[in-house]
Amino acid sequence: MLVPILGAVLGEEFPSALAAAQRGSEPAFTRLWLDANPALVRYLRVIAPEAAEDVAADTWVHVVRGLHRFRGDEPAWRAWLFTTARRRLIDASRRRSRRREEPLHDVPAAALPVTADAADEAMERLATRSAITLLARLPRLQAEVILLRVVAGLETDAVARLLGRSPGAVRVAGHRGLRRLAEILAEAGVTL
Amino acid sequence: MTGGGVSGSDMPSLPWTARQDVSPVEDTSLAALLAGNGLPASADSELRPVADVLAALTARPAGDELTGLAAAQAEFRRHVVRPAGVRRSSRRRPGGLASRLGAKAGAATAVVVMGFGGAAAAAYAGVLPGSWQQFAHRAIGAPAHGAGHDTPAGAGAAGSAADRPCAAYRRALADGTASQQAAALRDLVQAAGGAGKVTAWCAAVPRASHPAYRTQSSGPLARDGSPHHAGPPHHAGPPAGPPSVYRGWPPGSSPARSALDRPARGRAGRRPLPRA
Repeated sequence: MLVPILGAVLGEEFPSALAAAQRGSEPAFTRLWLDANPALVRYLRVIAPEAAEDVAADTWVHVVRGLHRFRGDEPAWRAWLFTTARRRLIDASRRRSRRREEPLHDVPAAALPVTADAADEAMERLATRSAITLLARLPRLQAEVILLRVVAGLETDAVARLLGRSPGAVRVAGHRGLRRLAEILAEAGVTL
Repeated sequence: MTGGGVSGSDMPSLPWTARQDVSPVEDTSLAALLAGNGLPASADSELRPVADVLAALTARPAGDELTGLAAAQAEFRRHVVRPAGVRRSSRRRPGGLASRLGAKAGAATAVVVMGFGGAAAAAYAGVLPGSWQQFAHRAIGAPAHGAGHDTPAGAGAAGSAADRPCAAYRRALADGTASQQAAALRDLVQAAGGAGKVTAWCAAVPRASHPAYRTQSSGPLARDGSPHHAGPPHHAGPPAGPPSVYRGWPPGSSPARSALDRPARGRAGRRPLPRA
């Protein structure tokens, strides 16, 4: 059974966490980061697999620097985060200075989410990787729409603003992407 | 639809496919999947694997998705934790200071942040707050506090054309707009041959206290902030390239440039914010 990470998110605790982070509370910022970074990395691994970690790190640099100016609720926070990520990705593509680094496992064990079983975690990880690989086979717009709706948890209108498209175009792209995904899965007989 | 006499090739080529094959039920199911609501019981079985893929996309985070936390925390400590106190104190100071010292001292304070050239010029102009002016007097030979441009006419040194840029800058600081101050400072830097030479250059020339000069210089400032008759005295000409007060900062980003070139208050051209 897969446990969604985007169900409740921070919910009612978000305003206090954000306010504390803006006042300089590192634990509050860490909470915001732990909540959002996995979704951010998954999004980037689909649309920029070679630069995902670099762009994610660059995104947080910009978010940290603009943190004191941010005003809004949790959906607005996520929209800002992913908009920033997309802009950083565009900049990185222009610079063509993608660096590949070995991931640093710098999160203390205590900060990692508690998993019930190592085998379950391994299966989940494998499934998530497979899902990312599958989504990367879709046209870019379709993949982005699915990721921003499902992984980032953004509403259609927010995705439309982020991508510079109409809500109708976003809706169509999302539906087409899911249908294409169904075709790919049927052709390959893929089971996760 | 194709009317009579209209061939199929005349029909517009639409970039999307016909959607007659898509059932409303399927659309509802897709919308539910995108909204994270799961697959309805009535959904097509072909969508089940898709639902599994989306569930995998939202599975709990793995360790390699949590790398980078230490770097983000370090950035947070650098830009949020420590500067927060700096921002708060820097917000308080200028307001309180300006209110205590008045517009004249406020202008001098603004000049100080332009950099050494501006600070030195302000110090020499004798418009810094008392203790700062006294410090500048001891440190770099600027006029002592109280010995500024209140020098009685005809008392002491004779007027000097070389002092005109200095005097023009002093007057612009005291009474001019931001653009007039900028223009006067540029003239002064050019006359001195560099921002770092302003203090020594102004100190070397007699203060313009001649009655004739005072009469002229007390008239209205020209549009560039300098007296109409003012011009660079005997010097080797303006330094090559941009004014040296800008050197060391990238074009258009220097604090000196932004402070100097700030439009005067009430200047037209600022577009109103669009209504929400």
